Amino acid sequence: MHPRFDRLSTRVGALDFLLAEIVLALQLTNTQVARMESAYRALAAWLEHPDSPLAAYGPILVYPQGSAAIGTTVRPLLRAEFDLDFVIEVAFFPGTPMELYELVVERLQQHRTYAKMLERKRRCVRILYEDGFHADALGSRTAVGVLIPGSIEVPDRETPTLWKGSNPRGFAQWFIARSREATEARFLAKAQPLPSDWAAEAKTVLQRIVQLAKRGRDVAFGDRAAAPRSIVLTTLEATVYRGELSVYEALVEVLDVVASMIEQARPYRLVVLNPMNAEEDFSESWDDPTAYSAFTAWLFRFRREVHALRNIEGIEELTKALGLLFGEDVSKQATHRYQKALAAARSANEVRSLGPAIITTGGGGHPIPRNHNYGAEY
Amino acid sequence: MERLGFACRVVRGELVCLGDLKPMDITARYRVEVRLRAGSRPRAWVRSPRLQRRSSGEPVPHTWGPDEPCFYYPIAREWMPNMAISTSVLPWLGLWLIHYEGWRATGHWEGGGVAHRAAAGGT
Repeated sequence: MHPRFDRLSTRVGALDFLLAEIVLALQLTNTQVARMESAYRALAAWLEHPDSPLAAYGPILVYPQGSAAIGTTVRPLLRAEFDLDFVIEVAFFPGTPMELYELVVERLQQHRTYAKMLERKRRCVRILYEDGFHADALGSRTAVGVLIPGSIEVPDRETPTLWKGSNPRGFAQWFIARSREATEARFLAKAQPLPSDWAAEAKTVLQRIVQLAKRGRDVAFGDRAAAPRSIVLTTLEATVYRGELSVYEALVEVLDVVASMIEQARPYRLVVLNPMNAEEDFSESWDDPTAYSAFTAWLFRFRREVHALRNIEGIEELTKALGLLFGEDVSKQATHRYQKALAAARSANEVRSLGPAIITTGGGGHPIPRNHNYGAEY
Repeated sequence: MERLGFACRVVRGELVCLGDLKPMDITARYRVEVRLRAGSRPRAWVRSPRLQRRSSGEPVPHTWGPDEPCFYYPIAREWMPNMAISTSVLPWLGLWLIHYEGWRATGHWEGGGVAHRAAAGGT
């Protein structure tokens, strides 16, 4: 039995397929990825060049951070623009945090084109491209006296005299290690690589459930500022993930665990620390009770609606329910792909009947004689 | 998986079977009727829920009539009198319902098929 088809006719198999296809439809397009890569390479080359004023501070490391680093990007819902976060890390910097911040600005201003594209953010310098793409450059120095690999110190314009601790590389490594559990278990169980179109181009289950939660958040919150931060959702999910292999079951499980953590924490709020740097509270915006209750209300509703997918009867109704969660277009596209997968299974003679007309793709039962739908339209 | 029963009886020389189909876990359940007269070809109707056009008005593809799916091509002798209904007609009807539901959801019919020569109403 071809591994691509065998679970298509089951509830969870169909949901896993549909959710994986929704993720595929949310990934940056090839054009967007190429755009991002070429902008990043040019910026990195400019910033780390030996002529750059930053070069005086030891070897420079430039690397992406955030969703691009861990493979959890989702296309923006309402904005046309998408973005890339990256770090410029110098080996040492004896000056003040704001001096390092301004050195990054200075280097970018030395470039005739970049000079006109700059916007100061709280920690990053934003380079805004004409087509709406933007790159956020975070100047940093290797953390002094800290032995955890990847630890850096970054400026913060709201507290200009202080170095803030962070560890984006450590976080990316932690996340990928957490996500690898299920992939390894899956490879061991099947002793073969997953076909690319089923495995959403080799993304792991954890990456996919992070993308689905981010998309669910985008659909629910739109542009509103109270939306929970992506880093918080990512850390929560990676922390509670248990290596479940089914995308749907993994999403249900993670949402159940987070819901119960919220209840157990009451009357206090959840605190989501950077697993690589306990100084950094990713969830500090939840000190505002309004922001926290916006998150918890959404989480409980999202969990309820994801649970409900298990019992919805009718492909049309299921598609509508997925549309309410993740967006109508991507859900219809996913269902269309599901239809085609079933048709391919039929052509490959992998669709059989079990008992009085129960259709299965999982083997057993009786073969179904060849037929062609005919007739007219009413 | 549910086992859904079919009740068959012979009425004036015609086998009439009535029962429920729920072809896959994610589909709805349909009350269907299959009739077969000796020497003739089997026909099936979807009694409930009734087949419906899409909200945009597109008619249901591959039907002989408003409630009657068409799921085999008689000219190609896809149905032969020696076939058991339970392993031919009913699975074909089940597959047809799966394609119907997908068509309702997306507007695309992915069940393949042969176009009927005459337009709807001109059979």
